[in-house]
Amino acid sequence: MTHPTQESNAVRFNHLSGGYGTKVLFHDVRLDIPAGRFTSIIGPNGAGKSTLLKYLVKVLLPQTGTVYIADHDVSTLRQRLLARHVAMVAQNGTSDYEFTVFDSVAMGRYAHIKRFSSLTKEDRDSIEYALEATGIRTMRDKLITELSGGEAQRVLLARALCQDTDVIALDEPINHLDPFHQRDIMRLLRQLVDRNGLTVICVLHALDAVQVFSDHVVLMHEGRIVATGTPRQVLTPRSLKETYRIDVHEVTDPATGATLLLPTW
Amino acid sequence: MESTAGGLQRKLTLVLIIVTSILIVALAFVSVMMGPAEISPGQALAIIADSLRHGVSTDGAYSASQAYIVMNLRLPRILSALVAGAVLAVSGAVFQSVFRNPMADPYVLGISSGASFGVALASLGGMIPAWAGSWGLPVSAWLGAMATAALIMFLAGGGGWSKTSLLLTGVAMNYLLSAAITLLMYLNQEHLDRVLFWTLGSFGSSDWTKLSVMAAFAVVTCVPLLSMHRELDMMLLDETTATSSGLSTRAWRMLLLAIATASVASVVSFCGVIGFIGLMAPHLVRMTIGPGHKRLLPCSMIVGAFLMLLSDTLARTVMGTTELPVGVVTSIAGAPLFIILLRHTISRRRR
Repeated sequence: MTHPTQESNAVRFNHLSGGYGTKVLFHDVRLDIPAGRFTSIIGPNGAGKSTLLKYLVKVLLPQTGTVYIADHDVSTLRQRLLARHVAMVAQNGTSDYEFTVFDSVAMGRYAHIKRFSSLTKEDRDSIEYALEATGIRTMRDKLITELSGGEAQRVLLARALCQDTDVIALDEPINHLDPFHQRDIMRLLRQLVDRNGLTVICVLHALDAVQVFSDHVVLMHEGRIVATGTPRQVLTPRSLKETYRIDVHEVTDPATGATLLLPTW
Repeated sequence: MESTAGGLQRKLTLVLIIVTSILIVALAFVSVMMGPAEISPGQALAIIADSLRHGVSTDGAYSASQAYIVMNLRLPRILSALVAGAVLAVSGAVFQSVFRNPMADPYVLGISSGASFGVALASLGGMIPAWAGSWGLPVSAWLGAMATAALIMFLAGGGGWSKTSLLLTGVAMNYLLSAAITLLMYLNQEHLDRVLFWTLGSFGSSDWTKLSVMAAFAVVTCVPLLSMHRELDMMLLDETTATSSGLSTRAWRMLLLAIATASVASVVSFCGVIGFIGLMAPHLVRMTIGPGHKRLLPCSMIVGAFLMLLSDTLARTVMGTTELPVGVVTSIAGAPLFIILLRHTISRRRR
């Protein structure tokens, strides 16, 4: 995991300011997300992490500033075109309607399908790939309402994958999962970066997962970027104390010899 | 594979279409024979067959008045009920998707009342110019319905509201419009019957001209809606997922709502307000074959058509020679379903 500053950027947030209504959340946020890397966005609740992702997929528009994806200004891209550059796994993205897994995943192809035409071979290949990559091929005909939390999260990821984008943004994808399925999803994301060269931008709360899986970490606090860099550079007892207001101490993992941060309860 | 949920949904779609189509044909046949004037199955068939060939009866199998009753009263009425049922069912399904609420339908939200108010106001107030002809009524219904829909959208803030708040807004809208219509009735007591017709709903005045205008509206509204099945599916997702998948949710919500509202308005202008078909048909279909709109919309159309024909046939036959307003029949069947859905939604949220 090399330091990614010299590499090309997939996404650039340029002088962003904005918020909800009159409440200003962002003050001149500048941030580059390296291409083909796993970037984690961390920070206490209300830091603006989810809002940053919503600016990226144009669910929200910043008051000032520009978001660039693959050198395109997001605000000038039509939603359909933007959806071919970046996909998103939203928080609480599961639906309580009885769609099958296949139909649910196939919705990820929306930005590629022409009106009046049915799924092309390219669409089907893309859906099969997404089902395969997320390990849910055998569940294709199940109803999404019958799935467990971990399986439902895989369906959301598969839908984002078959959108066929270079960048995938995820908003707390492992929040409601048990430790086994948390690891499962994190490994899957890591694989997508390593094998497929995907750019993953992931809002996370599990600091241990952040340390193990990310190449690049962005620490946010009260609408500002506090620190960016490798996990070792960003995750320090001091930075976590100043943002999360928690005490951590460094321990050495006996299995791998890596230095890990352990919060004090 | 066929034992799975997805396989079952596909199988049931075919069964549903075939069974309902057979039921529609059978019911239409029964309906053509039923009524004050007695017409036998053989006579009905002969009349229709002769008319299709533009021929005149030569063997005296039926009388001229029987032919008139079948061709100019019962047949246009049956076809009007089928078209109106199909249109109301589709628009109900669209409303449920756009508001992400299984209880949203043009009747419940007051859109139908808005249409009937528009029509009543324009026609009693003499606002429809003579050159508008048969198109004056649907256009004024459309204006009334659009104004109501716009108000609901404005109040509901683009779908960000809870399910019950939206329904309560609809209830308030219905109160307001029924007060306005009552006022119109007081001011125009000599036209009481006409206003009552629009508020209660009836196919009693169907004729071929009205049917063809209504059918034309049905085609220009329902065909685009059928082609928008993917957007309607995506509307069921949360806002962030739908938008990031490439759907401009705000624009699509407006467009879908405008088309669905126009389709309802055309039905209301010819047949008056008929409730709950838009709630019952999509709900029955969704329970059977799932929520995907590619199959839901066409299946809802035929189920809605069947339910409407059944309701109208009951409305004009159960009381003997006295005709019930068809809206009474659909409400007796539909209101309990609405209550069941409401209880289900509330208990699901508490869980």
